[in-house]
Amino acid sequence: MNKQISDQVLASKVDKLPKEMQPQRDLWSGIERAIQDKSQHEPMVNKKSNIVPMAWAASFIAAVLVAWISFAPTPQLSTPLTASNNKVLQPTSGQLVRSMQESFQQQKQAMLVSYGQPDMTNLPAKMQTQLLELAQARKTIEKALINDENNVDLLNLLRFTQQQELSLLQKLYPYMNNKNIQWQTI
Amino acid sequence: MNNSQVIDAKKLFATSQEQEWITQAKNGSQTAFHKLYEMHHRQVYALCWRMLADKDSAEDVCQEVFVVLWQKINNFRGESKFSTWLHSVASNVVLSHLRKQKNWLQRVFSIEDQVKHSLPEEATVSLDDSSELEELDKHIAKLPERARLVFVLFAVEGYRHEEIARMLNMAIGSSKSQYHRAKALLKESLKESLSEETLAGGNDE
Repeated sequence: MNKQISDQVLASKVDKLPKEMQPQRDLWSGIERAIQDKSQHEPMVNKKSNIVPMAWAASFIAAVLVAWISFAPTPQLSTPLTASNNKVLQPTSGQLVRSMQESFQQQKQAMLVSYGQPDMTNLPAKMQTQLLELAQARKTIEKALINDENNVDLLNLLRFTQQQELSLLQKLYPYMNNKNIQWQTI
Repeated sequence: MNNSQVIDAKKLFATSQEQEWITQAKNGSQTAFHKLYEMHHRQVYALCWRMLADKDSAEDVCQEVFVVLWQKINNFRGESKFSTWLHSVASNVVLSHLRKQKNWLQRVFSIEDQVKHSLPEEATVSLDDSSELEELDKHIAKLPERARLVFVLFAVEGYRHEEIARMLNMAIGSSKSQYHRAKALLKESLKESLSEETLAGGNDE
């Protein structure tokens, strides 16, 4: 009555368990209905090939965002794109990119003129580096747009980067004509 | 031609047939997918039933397994047997289902232990539904959830404790201790039912 069940007895009972059980209701009809609307996933191999460009784009955007955060833009120049901006950013052709480049250069030039065409070499080296890095980021986006001129995300990123560059110039203005002002985190 | 050769030939035919259905299902053939369902659904249902210990949930999750299989079948690259791969898909779907089912109360309090100690007859399994089950299956169904999951995955499905620990998000040691706990509980309940049978036999006499 108090007979113990050994490991061997239990293992033998486990081995004898049926591998199959029959469900009581028909499951296929539900499965059939469900898979009508569900597409099959692409194999993992194909997914991986999409990861590289996605990762590149994500890294690039992250880099620009980090630059933006470190430059701490002023609210008036870092406002999100308005309806009118979106209208401007509607991709139509490569002319849009050129138009944005021209508009940016005009704004930049106007800003520098208003500052009395300051000598950038007066800026501390760290400031010059950051300004150059932002300009380089903008040029990289412009290059990417040559091959994908209607990419809305890239267009938005270009617009954003241009705004940051103008914002930085505005912030650096006090340093341009005064070498004595010490560098501080902006 | 001896018997073993006949069996081998049958196996070979079944494997090549299955391979053909897999290829067709990958290309979107629902007919071929239905054949795969017919071939494997009883095994998948058995796994679902043992892990969930509830007929209705097992049927629902078994359906979910085949819907997921339809979506993911292109990921099967033939590196293992299809049935092995299908069982790993099924195990993951069951575990995902259990995670979704757990409410915040169950997460905060270990209700399964309370159920075990105070309400052993209220385990999720309904014996009306399991009247045709093997005796051991009835006892497995009454185990506390984590002990049951570890026991089924280790002893019945053949997973290693390292794999189970990863699947259940627990330490390897916990998986081993849950397995020993399950074994002890099963031995105890099997012994009790054996005693009851002996008593019943004695009364009849």
